[in-house]
Amino acid sequence: MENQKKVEELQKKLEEAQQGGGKQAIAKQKSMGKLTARERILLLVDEGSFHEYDLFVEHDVRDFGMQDKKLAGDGVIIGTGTLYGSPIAIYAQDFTVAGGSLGSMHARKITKIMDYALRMRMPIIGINDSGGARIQEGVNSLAGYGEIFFRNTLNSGVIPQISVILGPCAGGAVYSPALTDFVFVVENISKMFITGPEVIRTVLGEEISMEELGGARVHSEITGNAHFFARSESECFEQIKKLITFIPWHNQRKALAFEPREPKAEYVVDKIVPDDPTQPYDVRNVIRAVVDGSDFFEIQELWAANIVIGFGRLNGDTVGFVANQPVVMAGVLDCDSADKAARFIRYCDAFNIPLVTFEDLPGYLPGVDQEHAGVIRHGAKMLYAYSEATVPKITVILRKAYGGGYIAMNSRHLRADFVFAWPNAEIAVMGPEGAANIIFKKEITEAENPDEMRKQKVAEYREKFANPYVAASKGYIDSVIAPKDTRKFLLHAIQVSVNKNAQMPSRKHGIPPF
Amino acid sequence: MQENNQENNQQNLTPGAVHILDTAYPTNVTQRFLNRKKWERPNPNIVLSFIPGTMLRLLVEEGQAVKAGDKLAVFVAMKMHNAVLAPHDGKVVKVFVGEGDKFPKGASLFEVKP
Repeated sequence: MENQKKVEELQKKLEEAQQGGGKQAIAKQKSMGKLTARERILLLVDEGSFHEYDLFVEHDVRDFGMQDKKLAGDGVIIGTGTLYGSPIAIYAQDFTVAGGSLGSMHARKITKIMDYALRMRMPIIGINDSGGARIQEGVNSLAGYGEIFFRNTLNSGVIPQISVILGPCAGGAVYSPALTDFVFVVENISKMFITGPEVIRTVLGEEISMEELGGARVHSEITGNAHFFARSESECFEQIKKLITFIPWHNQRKALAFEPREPKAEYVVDKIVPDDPTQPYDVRNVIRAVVDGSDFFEIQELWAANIVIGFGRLNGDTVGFVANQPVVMAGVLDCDSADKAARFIRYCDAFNIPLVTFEDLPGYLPGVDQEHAGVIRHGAKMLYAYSEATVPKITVILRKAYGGGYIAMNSRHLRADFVFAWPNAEIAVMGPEGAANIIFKKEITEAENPDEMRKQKVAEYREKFANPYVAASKGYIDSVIAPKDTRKFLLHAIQVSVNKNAQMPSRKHGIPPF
Repeated sequence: MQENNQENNQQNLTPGAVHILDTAYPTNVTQRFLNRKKWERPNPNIVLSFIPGTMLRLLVEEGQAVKAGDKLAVFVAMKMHNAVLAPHDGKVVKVFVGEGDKFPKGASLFEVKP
């Protein structure tokens, strides 16, 4: 009977520890519109699958009266579970326990589960809700952050790392999410910044609120630090669950295959792109017209929307899409859009996800602010990422492919495996207007009617070069295809490239233009 | 006491210096810092250009009521016809540009009061 008593005792201890910061702190958390850390985990993983570790860990601080304070689980919950039957590791900072502040034991729990995730090769999800470093622990808490960042880097490209910001995440703490693959934020709840409004006011005299400085909208629309924006925590969890279905468990596997489906009939691929090259259209409809079930899962929808990135499925297998978006800023490439695409391309390459590129762009955005913001360096990231990627790479030129943009968007010259073009594609060094003005400058200025002459020469140039056949005659394009055959060609291209074996020269690592 | 604010027009302030009591301690500040634009709270009623371009067609007049998503104008940028949409329901109070005007990125185009 002694054992029975001990089991009861354990039960009591567990219940006590699972209370977190106590009733009062939980009520306060609820009043801010937030769920508790435990509720969040249970909402995210498959029912009954969560197993917690290190519940009885205690901090060992003996200063500032901390020795009398018992912190449940030291302010963080770690464990493993399943999501749609796939294994995941998870940690959630508990704001109700000492404000989720990070001390050395707290950090040790997080690094423990990160090490587990790496060893077992499973995705890790981190829920961040913390006031920052535990000041009473001094440099030990900084050491904790450092250990986490190091592991974030170690795990990068081996296992998927997902960060969920469900509360404040300030100072050094923001660098852990920044090092991970995907960051989820929720309106009015997530707040991320290096220095808060208070410091900005004293140093620069600028008045700004927390939400305006580092709220969910700011990071989704202006900085691009966040990848997914949600209006509520439950919407955020749905997004995470959907993302998990598209990505593999680790870098030696492929994402789970789904039952193949046909695209929905409402998306008719040859009716989306207008004949007139000056008219914009939403390129996401072209993607929806070719992917299984017209189900396109967009990433970073609100930031640098002139390029569209996201996942879809072709014949049941996950594919990463990169597409110029003519309806936003004419679909130009600029600093932000190149950054956004480059990182996504490297993600897909790291996790064996084939890349499909839809191209329709007038080129790089001209302007002093772009040049001074470093469009050379940022644009180069995209060239680097495409060139380096060894997963199957397929390009479809939908309409315009001019100048540097043509090269950057996964051209044959960067070792695209398949390049297709629609018959209305225009491939040239620059648009017909600009080109005619330069090549026929003399003829135009000397003509009796310069405008008439310009029109004639523009038409001449368009006739001669603004078509896919010049590029096709050199073998830069493999096939000129009718728009309605796009899905057929993509499915076949993916099918024949499943065993692609391309190697980069042996090296420690390349030097991308970060 | 730290006073490092360029917008402060007091004569005794040296650019980039840290002022403690009466002494200015010179510090090296980059040109980029000196040229930086002070953050201003954006006015949601002002519709800004998102790319440099040339106004092709104005589709609304001052005083006209518009609904969110209505086309306010079409302008040419990067060989494309870009639509400017109303950010919310309201009345167009001011039109800042005329047809044929060239404007940079971030220029005010319309003011729409809800």
